[in-house]
Amino acid sequence: MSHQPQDFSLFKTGEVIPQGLIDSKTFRSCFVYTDTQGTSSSWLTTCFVENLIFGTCYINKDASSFKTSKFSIKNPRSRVIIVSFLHGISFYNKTWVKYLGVDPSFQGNENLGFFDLSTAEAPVDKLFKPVIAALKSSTLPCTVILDHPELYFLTNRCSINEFMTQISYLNSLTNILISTSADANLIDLHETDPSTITHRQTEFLTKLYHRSQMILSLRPLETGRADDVTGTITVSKGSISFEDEVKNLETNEHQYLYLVNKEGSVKVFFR
Amino acid sequence: MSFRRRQEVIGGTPSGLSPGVNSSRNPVAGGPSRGPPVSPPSRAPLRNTPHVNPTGPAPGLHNRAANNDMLAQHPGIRPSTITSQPTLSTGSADLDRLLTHEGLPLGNSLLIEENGTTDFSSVLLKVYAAQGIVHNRNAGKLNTHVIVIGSDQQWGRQLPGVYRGSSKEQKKNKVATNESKVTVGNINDSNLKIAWRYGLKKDSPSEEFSDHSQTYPNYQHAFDITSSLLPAPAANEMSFVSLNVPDYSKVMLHIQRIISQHQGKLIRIVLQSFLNPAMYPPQLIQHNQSLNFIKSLRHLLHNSPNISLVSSINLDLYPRHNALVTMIEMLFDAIIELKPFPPELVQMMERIYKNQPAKIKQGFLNVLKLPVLSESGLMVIKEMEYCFKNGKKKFEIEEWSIPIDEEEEERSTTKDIEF
Repeated sequence: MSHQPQDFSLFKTGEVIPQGLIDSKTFRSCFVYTDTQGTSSSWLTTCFVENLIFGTCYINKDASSFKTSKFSIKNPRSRVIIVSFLHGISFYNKTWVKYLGVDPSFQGNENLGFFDLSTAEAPVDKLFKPVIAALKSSTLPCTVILDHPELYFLTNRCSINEFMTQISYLNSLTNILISTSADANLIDLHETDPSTITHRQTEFLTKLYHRSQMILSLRPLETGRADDVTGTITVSKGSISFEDEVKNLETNEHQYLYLVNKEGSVKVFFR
Repeated sequence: MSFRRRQEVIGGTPSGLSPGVNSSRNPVAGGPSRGPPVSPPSRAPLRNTPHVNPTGPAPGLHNRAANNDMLAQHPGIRPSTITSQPTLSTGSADLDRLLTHEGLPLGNSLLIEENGTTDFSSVLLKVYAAQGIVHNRNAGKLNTHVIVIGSDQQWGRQLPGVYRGSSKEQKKNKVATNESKVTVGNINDSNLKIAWRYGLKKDSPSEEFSDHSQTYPNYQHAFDITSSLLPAPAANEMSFVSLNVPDYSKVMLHIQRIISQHQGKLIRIVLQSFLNPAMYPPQLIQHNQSLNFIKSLRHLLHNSPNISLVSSINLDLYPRHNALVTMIEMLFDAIIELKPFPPELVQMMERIYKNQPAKIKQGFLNVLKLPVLSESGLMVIKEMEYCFKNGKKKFEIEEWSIPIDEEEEERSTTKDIEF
């Protein structure tokens, strides 16, 4: 009797980020993952970093699964650049030590770069300048992860269109993954005042959804808090399909239950 | 042969002002005036304690090393029970337990949200500040500095003193102290045995609260909100940052200047009634300005191993469904919400617990975020699972249980039988 593997995967091939997507010379993807107050997505960021560098996923095996990979931080599957508007590198280091095997004092390197823009006040057209420079100088394929970029445009004088232009430019250079907040209080499609936080975040999310290939939503249980389930992850297709060399990629649209433990380990279950 | 009076202490000074009496068992010099006769609080030693020269060591590695040394020796710091990070007490033992780390890990911030017109959050802010001052007094040297944003010296004078037990306990304590002295009278009669039999020699109540753990005896204290911390915090223990400025950059500069003047100390920052129009000028209430300020504070905290922040916000002015509050919540590491009971529930509890007043609580306490755990993805939101009561000796937090109206039950049972 065969049984369906209950692994966390974003594609029908059973992969999280497929090799074809990393290797593609012409197609650049944009994935969006949204979280809310009770379901922080930081563990998913670590999962993506591990998968991009090593090709493994600690959620599907164990904390040391990266050790079995033929890839390493010195020889990665894809270079990763994290641009965080919320956390410093020390926040991620705590989990990277366990799941990526880096040194506790790790401050980033050319294969796993980190830009802390949590207090960035630069004009939007200069905001990603160092990131773009790092991308252009790289000979290996790169993936950029933007961690809660809404904190920039909500605290600086910058229109959503200007910000989206910068994101589109980044996306034209590389694959990008964007994590952002989607709390119910931040979204109101009927909000008319363009200066409010709700209007700006709603506009950002709507525009992002319309230019992404995949959307992941981390939400708490609708039935209330449970000790054995943290929340749900819903994987769905974005508005744009995969094209060119990766046109055959099929999104594994699915909803999972997941549990984050106090020590940081994550388990994902089929729903 | 010489004769001594029965109550004269053998080999001791005539009054109770011996330095030996005021050992670490009486941690706070100069508590409430109605307390036992401990040695008087001396401002002089505090003033004479050498400051860390702000112009001396250059900021950088040397200061970091000084901070690490301080963290290792500070009586008010212990490792978190979950992550082993250095953690400080919020001044409320129940809140420390609720935060699951036995306190607030350093470099983290706590936001206290409050509904209604009550002001329970200010009690928590005051005990948080008072705890820092008590550590100064207890150690006899300046190891903690409190920065209060938006309030003046008057606020500092309202800090509560250390709880020394009920009047009955204080009397018992006084008798026990007298009995334990080696006097001619005590040696001759068998009072010691009687004192032992009636439990008079047990530790004082203040010790019960301060000695929660043998390993960290002075980590946390209980505070009596009806008393005042005496003497009031001096300028070298507490600084005040004014909000009469055109923008928050001046506030941040002021905070950074104070921190650099107090290198090698634990810094507790108090941000009271954030965005309250009574305290904040209109230009500081704009959402991008206020979010930028919290972002800067967060950056400061996450890059400093010796700073913590506790803030309060009124939800009547800024309800939780307001997007600004959601964004502010995103930038804090821990959040609790105080929700006083509606009047009907208060009346019902008073009726049901008329013979057990201790069981009457004052409101719900919702947990929205916990330090470290929430950011790592754990779902910790607990609404209407805890309740609180602001008592004289402590801010009690307990699990909430719905009160059962036995009279109502009896009435319905009787009716059933009659039917």
